[in-house]
Amino acid sequence: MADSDLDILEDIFEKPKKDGAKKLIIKIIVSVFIIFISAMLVINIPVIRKMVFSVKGKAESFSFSQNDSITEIQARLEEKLAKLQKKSIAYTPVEPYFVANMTLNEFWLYKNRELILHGLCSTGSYTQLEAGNDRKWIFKTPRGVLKILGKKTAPVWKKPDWAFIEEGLPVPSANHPSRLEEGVLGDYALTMRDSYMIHGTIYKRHLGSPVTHGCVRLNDEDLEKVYKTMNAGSKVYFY
Amino acid sequence: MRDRKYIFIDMKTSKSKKLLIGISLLILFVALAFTSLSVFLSARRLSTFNERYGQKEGEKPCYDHPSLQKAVKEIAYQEAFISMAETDSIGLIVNLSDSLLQLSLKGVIIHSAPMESISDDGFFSAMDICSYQNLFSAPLEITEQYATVEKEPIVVKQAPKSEAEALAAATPFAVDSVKAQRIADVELTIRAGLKIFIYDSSAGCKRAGKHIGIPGETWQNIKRLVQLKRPQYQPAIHICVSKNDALSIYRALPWKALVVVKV
Repeated sequence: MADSDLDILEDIFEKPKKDGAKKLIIKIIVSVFIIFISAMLVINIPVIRKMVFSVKGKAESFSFSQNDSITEIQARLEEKLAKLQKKSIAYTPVEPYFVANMTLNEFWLYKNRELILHGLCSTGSYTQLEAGNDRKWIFKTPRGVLKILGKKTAPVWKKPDWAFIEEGLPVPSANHPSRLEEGVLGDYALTMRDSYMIHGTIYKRHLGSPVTHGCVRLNDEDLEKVYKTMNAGSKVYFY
Repeated sequence: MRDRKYIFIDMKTSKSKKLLIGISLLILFVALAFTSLSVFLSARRLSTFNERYGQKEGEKPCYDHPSLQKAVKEIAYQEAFISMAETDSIGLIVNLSDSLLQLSLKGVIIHSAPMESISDDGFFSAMDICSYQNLFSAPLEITEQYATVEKEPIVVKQAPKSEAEALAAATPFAVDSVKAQRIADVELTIRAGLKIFIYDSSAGCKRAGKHIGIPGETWQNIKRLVQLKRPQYQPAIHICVSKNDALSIYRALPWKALVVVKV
């Protein structure tokens, strides 16, 4: 075959090859575009749904048919609302109450439904002490409402068994003098059920952290104010 | 030889081009079907919801009028709040109208967290007022809770055998449990199949809105579709609060806590 013949043949076959490449590129672009549209559709389902909901929401209103006038019903509803709001507010005590957040180790003291003190405290450490023979203690402050049962000045701590076990010491008899420790609870203590107390501390640098065995520790100034404000029967909210 | 080779290549590219377009169109078809099905199921969920909780004969009156809606919603909220106050447990208040996430114990607001961002899927606004009144005038129980942090960060400690061992094991300073924790994201499922997502703002609030789409519910539905299961839709509220608030609220809530919702 002559060279010129070969050139002609190359022209015949190269042109469709170039056209084919072009078409392939176009089809790839179209495919990518289709896939992009598909992805956008799926990703935007929440947006489409919101549009559908807004249309449906509008379409389904206005089915009101009553014999009374709107004004009368409105007055009745407002009267009912006022009664309910009064009842809701009444749940908050006018008497002093104490709130403690055990996650942040902060407290708030209220009187006449107004905040009068906010500060740091220490609450239960969430430590589980295991001493063998199935003896274990979880040091946490109970969540819920407790009541102040009593108030003490210069409280003396009567150390329970776990206080000795935690220190690696032998547990003395129930009324042994080594159980009594003065000065560690601060100047005041407010007692609650199950031996839980709000008291002072010698570990003031730990205030704001969960380090106690379940009691609530405050600094000296805050403790004095809480002691003077709260009475027997005052509520304490732990959360 | 040469022309045969070109014809063969041309046939091959032509086939692959057709295959490419075919696959793309198939993907588009599946996406369209999936989107339509998802939207249809959401709309049907709203209809069944309105049928189930909407006004029925013999029940308390429902005032479906735009000028009464505010009062009806406020009354529903107060009734639910009072009902929750009668229980002894800590309950959650999701107050979207005032942008507050609160904890209540015996009717006392013990924690109040401002919402940094809120997004919902429009379901709650689309509910008819009778359904709203019947559903939200009582507290709803949490049926499931999930979080990226522990509910009770209990540390187990073995009692020391001697005083010396106790002294050696003593922690020199208190560990701040909050700072040591990871991002505190919370997912609550409440009665009637409603979802409440609480996001920790320390990881950004923008993701709160994005979670509505991929990789949240849509991603789950894609997986369901692959398993030849029907897509699911659960109405959801997405709230972003500070880390301290998210953590405090999650840890304070009992597993079966009650939730009051005000939209």
